[in-house]
Amino acid sequence: MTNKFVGKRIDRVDARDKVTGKALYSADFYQEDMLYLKVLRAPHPHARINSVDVTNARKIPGVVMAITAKDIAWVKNFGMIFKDQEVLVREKTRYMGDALAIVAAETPAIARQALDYIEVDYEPLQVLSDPLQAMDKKAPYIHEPREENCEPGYNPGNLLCSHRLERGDVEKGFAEADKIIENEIRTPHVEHVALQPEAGVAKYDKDTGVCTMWVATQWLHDIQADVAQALNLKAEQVQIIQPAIGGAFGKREDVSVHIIIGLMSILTGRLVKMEMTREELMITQNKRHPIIFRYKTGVKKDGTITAWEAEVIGDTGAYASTGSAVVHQALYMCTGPYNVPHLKGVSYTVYTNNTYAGAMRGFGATQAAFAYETQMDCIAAELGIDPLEFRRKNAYELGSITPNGQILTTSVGIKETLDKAAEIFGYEPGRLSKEVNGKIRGVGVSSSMFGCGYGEGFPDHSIVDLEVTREGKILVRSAAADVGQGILTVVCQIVAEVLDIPMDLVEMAPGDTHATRNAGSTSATRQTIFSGNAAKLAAEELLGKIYHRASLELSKHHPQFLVRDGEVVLQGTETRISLAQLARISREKGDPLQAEGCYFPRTDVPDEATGQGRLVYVAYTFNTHITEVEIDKYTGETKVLRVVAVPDVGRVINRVGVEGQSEGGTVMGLGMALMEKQVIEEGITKNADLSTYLIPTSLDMPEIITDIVESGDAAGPYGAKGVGEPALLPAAPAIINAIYNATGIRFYHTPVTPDEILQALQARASKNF
Amino acid sequence: MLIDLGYRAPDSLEEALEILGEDSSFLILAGGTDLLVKYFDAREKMGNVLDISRLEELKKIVIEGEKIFLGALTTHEEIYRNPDLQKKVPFLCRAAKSVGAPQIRNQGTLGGNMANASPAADLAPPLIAVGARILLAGPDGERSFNLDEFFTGPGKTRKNPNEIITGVEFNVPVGDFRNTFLKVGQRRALAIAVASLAIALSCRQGKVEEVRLSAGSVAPIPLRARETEKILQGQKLDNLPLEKAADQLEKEASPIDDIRGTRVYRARVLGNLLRKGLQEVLSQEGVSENG
Amino acid sequence: MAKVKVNLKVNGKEHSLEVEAATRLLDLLRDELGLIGTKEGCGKGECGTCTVIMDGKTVNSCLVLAPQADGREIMTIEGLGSPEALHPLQEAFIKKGAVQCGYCTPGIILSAFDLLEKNPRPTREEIKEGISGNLCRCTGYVKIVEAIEFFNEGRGEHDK
Repeated sequence: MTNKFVGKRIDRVDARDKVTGKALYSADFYQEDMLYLKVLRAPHPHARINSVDVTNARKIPGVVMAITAKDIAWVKNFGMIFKDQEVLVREKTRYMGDALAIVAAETPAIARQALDYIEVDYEPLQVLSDPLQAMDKKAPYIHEPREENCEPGYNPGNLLCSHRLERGDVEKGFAEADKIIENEIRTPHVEHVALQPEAGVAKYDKDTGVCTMWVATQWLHDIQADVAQALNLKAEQVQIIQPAIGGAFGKREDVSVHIIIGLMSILTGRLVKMEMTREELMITQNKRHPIIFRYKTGVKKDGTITAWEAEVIGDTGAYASTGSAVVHQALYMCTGPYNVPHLKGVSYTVYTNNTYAGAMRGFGATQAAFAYETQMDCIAAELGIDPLEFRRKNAYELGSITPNGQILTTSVGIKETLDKAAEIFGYEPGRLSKEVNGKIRGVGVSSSMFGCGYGEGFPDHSIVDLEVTREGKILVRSAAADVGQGILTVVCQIVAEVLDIPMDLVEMAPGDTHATRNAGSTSATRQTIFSGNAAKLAAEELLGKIYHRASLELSKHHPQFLVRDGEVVLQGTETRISLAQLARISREKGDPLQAEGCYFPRTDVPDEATGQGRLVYVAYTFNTHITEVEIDKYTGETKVLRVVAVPDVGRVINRVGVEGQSEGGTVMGLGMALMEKQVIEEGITKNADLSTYLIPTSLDMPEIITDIVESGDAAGPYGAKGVGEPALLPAAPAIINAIYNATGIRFYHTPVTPDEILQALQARASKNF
Repeated sequence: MLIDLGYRAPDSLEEALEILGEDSSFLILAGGTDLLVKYFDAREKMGNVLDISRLEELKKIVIEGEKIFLGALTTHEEIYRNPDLQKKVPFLCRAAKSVGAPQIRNQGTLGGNMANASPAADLAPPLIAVGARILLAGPDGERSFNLDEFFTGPGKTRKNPNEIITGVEFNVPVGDFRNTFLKVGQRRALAIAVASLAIALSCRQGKVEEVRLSAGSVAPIPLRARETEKILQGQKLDNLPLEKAADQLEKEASPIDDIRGTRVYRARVLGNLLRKGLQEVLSQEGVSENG
Repeated sequence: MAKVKVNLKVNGKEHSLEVEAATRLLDLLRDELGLIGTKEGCGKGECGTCTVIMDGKTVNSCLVLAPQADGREIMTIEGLGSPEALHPLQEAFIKKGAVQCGYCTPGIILSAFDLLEKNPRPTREEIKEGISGNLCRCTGYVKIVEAIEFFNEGRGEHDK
């Protein structure tokens, strides 16, 4: 049976509003008499706060309220996993984004000016900017020491947690090896640069006790819970209505303005609005974790990997956010899609006084992909084996075992991605660099794997509700956040497919904690699998109900009619009942045409000591990139010429969407490889704007060819897997590996700047003479 | 427009100068691409603003033979797109094109680029290399400077607060005039120069008759590399002392480390830009001496 | 700063307003006229989400003081088409999948529109150049460039 919608190129359901400027984002909500909020941030990354004096700020005409921690003693800490972050800091600052005071004023300009009138008395403390230094027992504590959680020998105030991975016997594996390759590989702080800055509007209804907010989040119900607990409210007293979201990439997993707008709407009784500036959000909100990977890999001469040992150290900054999960994910993905018989690893998540790190596209797996693809390339070079061939030799197949001990029984398309990429690219094994007009060209290969969904025993699920409306349309209620990736379109496609009706008869209700049920987070590349499955289950249930009601109305057996284009059609006759009609009848009979679908797969909590489990993630997405770069010998500049990107997505739901993720991920990876690093020195960001923190422009984009492997049979609807985060993973390492191929110079970090390339080229040239 | 203290938008230069004559604390606003960035999130602190963007007399481009005048309000986009300039001083157009992106080029002006006096100002090197003079009008009349003597430090010039830049003028060298502008940025659009170099070479009978070199982002002000020029002056085109000149240029630069690049890289890449740029101008088709 | 009177034409309609002199054109469009299709992404002219067309030229409206727009003609995304009556360029963006989060979309469409006004047959490189002042973090620009090309091909057929 061929699909009508699934697997096709489908227009986004929200595009019409977006291309005309009608889509409403958080900052687009206006009301005449609203108050504007501004927050005073820390004067120093690590300081004892003696006093915060808002007396003078309160005197400014137009300032309605100015508060400090003392005014809100009843407010609780917040945080995604650990509640370690204060809404307003009480005793000390731990990074430059810590909030000391909030001002509410009649105009943004007044609120801004009022901040200048707040006096802060503080004593600077030693700033810990390096996780290795912070781990040390002798370092001062950033947080209260928690001896019970700490590994012996480490700093109990700064080591948030550690994780372990062990399978087989690495010593035995190293003994079998012909060569042992050791490297240290590092990644920096990276900023998401979602184009829409953090913003939100809130109002509090004294009569109902409900605080309603219009603010973006990747997970409505999780933010609802965190806001509620922080403000001593019940969950149902916090209503979040999801506006259009201007990009997220993990940025909007964390609380940003949410608690502050909720709090101030309650305290002032007015509608309040807060917009962060780009600078403010770059300093205040989560970053990609800088991670240090220490790898030791054993290989035989023929290219068989025998053992792999990894130490992973992640800098989670001042607060935990999702840091513990990000860093252990980097450990759990540390060997990539390659067979490793003996494996041992440990990860440490460390507090510092840097801007806190949390989720960002790939969630630790991005850093890991750069690390293992660098390591794989180094090994291939060391053994004199072509890098693509070396990957192919060790790549997963059915029956392979992941680092967590999960045996892969389905949808393992990694080898196909390598083969397809090689074919499309016209890959020549053993290819050497070429010089063209003073520019050196090289080719790099990279593959990756990504575990979709939260997995690890987390009660991860999504609920979708459907209803046939009076007009005969299908109303979909889902809280799944469309951050730009297109989940709303995917859900509508699946509903239309199951019910065999045109897409324009499927309507999405806006995400709203009070009108839609938990869809889980738009993260972990899980929405297509989770909300897609939930939508499919719901649609199938609804179809069943339609059949049931129609058979009663028509007094016919099921095979005699079918549901198509919004009608029930009695085959071979002119008899039809519209879904609108059927919905009305069903409602009258007290059995409305409604259905729900819930996808709630079980996964295993990995063993604490070894990280092993049977079913740790519901699916794994694989990707391969082959990339050609060109390096200017005079300037050291790298131009990415061409990228062939091949994801294995199980099954395509929306072809345009998959390509869009692949292309977007590729260019984000280009930024990561060549330009992106938030420079934080002694806790202070040196490039907190878009003229100094650079992301790629249209003139930087390479030619990108995406071809898709459909290995099928994965956990998602129609055999799909997720694509969003994995699309980024191979991009940066393929570029850095291509630079190696072009120049013979190996870089063990990102980004690689023209400065470093030119220096290395000249150092080598002088050595040769 | 309703005129009020704090914001003034005169229609004539005379009126603008009068306002400045009375109160030289007015911030001069032209294209806004520097000023409004500087006062981002603190616009209420700007104080008095003199918006000169309506001064039609500063929007002129006058090209009479080899004599060229560019009004201070000429935008980067107008320079880049001007067919006469593309023919006569292509490196100036190339520098203009390298600025920001279309929006910034549509807004940012020549005068603003000079007044802001960033060491990275992209129009400065080609204008210095072509020997431009910058024209100022003030309450006491007009003044002008050779552009290479106008800048005194980052953000600093010899312009008095009560003066307005009216434009630049220069003569395009006659005969076999070759030029190029090279810039290293951190990406291919919306990039501020990490280092840039303008080369202007007048050739005669296979020799360098006159050479001017000016570099951006490698010194506190746009650099005129006089010592390097001396090395190339009078040399045969088919045997230019490339390495010696490049080494000298690296020495002449006094770059700093900043978020966009290191001191070491800037000096090193500047030498390479000269190597690359001289090769490029040598391959340019020499204009016949009859013009 | 003082209040200043500003008369301007936006999307063909005359407006007469009194605003603080320090108001940006961006704020005037959004706060005073409710034209929220013009977005703020950085406030420093680095991202292009606030792009509008002023007297036939694209500008970052965050870098224009509202009084500087006095007597000028502005076009915002709302002036190009509406959900009910899309401009073919907007349709091309939908058809080609050039929209993801949509935050950069209004600005990019205006840059593309302006480019095509001035250069009806741009090359791929000229298209990239034309939208180089508009950052997009979602799409990698590929489908945006394709959408502009697609629109232009369609237009070419109309010309025939």
